[in-house]
Amino acid sequence: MAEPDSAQESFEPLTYVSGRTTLWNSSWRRIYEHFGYAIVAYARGKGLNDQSAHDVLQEVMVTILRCKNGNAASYDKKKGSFQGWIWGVIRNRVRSVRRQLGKEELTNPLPSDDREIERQTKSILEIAQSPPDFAEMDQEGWERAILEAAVQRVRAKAPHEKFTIFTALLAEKASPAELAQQYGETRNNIDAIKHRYKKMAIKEAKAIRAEWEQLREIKLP
Amino acid sequence: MNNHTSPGQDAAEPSDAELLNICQTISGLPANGDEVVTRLQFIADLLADAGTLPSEKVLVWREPDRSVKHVCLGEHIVVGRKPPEPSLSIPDDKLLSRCHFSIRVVKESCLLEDLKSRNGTSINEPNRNFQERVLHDGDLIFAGNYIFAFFDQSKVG
Repeated sequence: MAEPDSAQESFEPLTYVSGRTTLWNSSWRRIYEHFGYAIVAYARGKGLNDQSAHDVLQEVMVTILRCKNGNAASYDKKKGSFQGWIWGVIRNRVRSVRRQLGKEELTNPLPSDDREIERQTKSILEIAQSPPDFAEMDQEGWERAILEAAVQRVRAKAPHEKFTIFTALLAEKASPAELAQQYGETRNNIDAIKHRYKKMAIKEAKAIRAEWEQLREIKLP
Repeated sequence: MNNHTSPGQDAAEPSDAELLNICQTISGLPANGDEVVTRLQFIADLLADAGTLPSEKVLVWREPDRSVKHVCLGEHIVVGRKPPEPSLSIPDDKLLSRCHFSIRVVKESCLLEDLKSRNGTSINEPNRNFQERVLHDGDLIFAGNYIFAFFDQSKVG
């Protein structure tokens, strides 16, 4: 039997329904590892600078950490899936930080539909009482964030030089033959790099998406 | 990007232009990724020992005997060895100034201000002193021998 791809392991429901601290620790760490960068990327895609995007990540993670204690401000399984709840938390935190920053500190202007969303922003409490339907929300923004997280994983795994070649091939600034000469690689290797890393990025994105889907099925106590 | 992809389905294969744009803009993982995990673990442990906290803005900290305490911030609080009211007084910590830092609610935000303390006030990592900073849910405040966690418990989902 082939070894399971660790990136595609399923969440074990037990880790969520158990109150044992060690299992809870593995659960939130897993959420952080799988979606941390995507959350930052999503926040940056909404115009936040790096520092503010990391503030959003911190606030999202702290909100998740509060789940375990049954604090008033935590997930209620009667109101929808854990995935929908996390999605609502991410959106709310991005909006909240945007409001604090003010328009002048955003790194890019808001798309018009987002301005409309901001005008119509419900209070955090209202959203908690009426969990968002993921399918109707910012699918494109989140998909882009997942792809960004996937490329980041590829970059982390790839040797620096190879990733530089990959970027150069995408940019078409130099021919494969020129890159082969410049980096002392064979032409075949250069040709393979683009295909291999693109495939890796797609695989990583698929793995993150699969993990995200697992959150839909999870029911916290 | 396919706007109509439902969650769980594979998204359309990214174009070279899209991948290039991402390659050119990704900022990298947080440089201090391990520190973030350590900080979150500290918060997880603190919350686990704190029990249910009130649904408002609070400071939570661990005493030398490992017990966890909290105080509600209200509109304004001063923390130190011997601060004026309204205050959180910790007289036994000699590294704290008499009035070490204050937190004031300004609109929706909480503003931390170091009150010219001798040893300074850091946020989220030791020795990174701030004179003034807006606090975020889960920020850790290093002052004297204590680490205070700021939680905005009024924030829900």
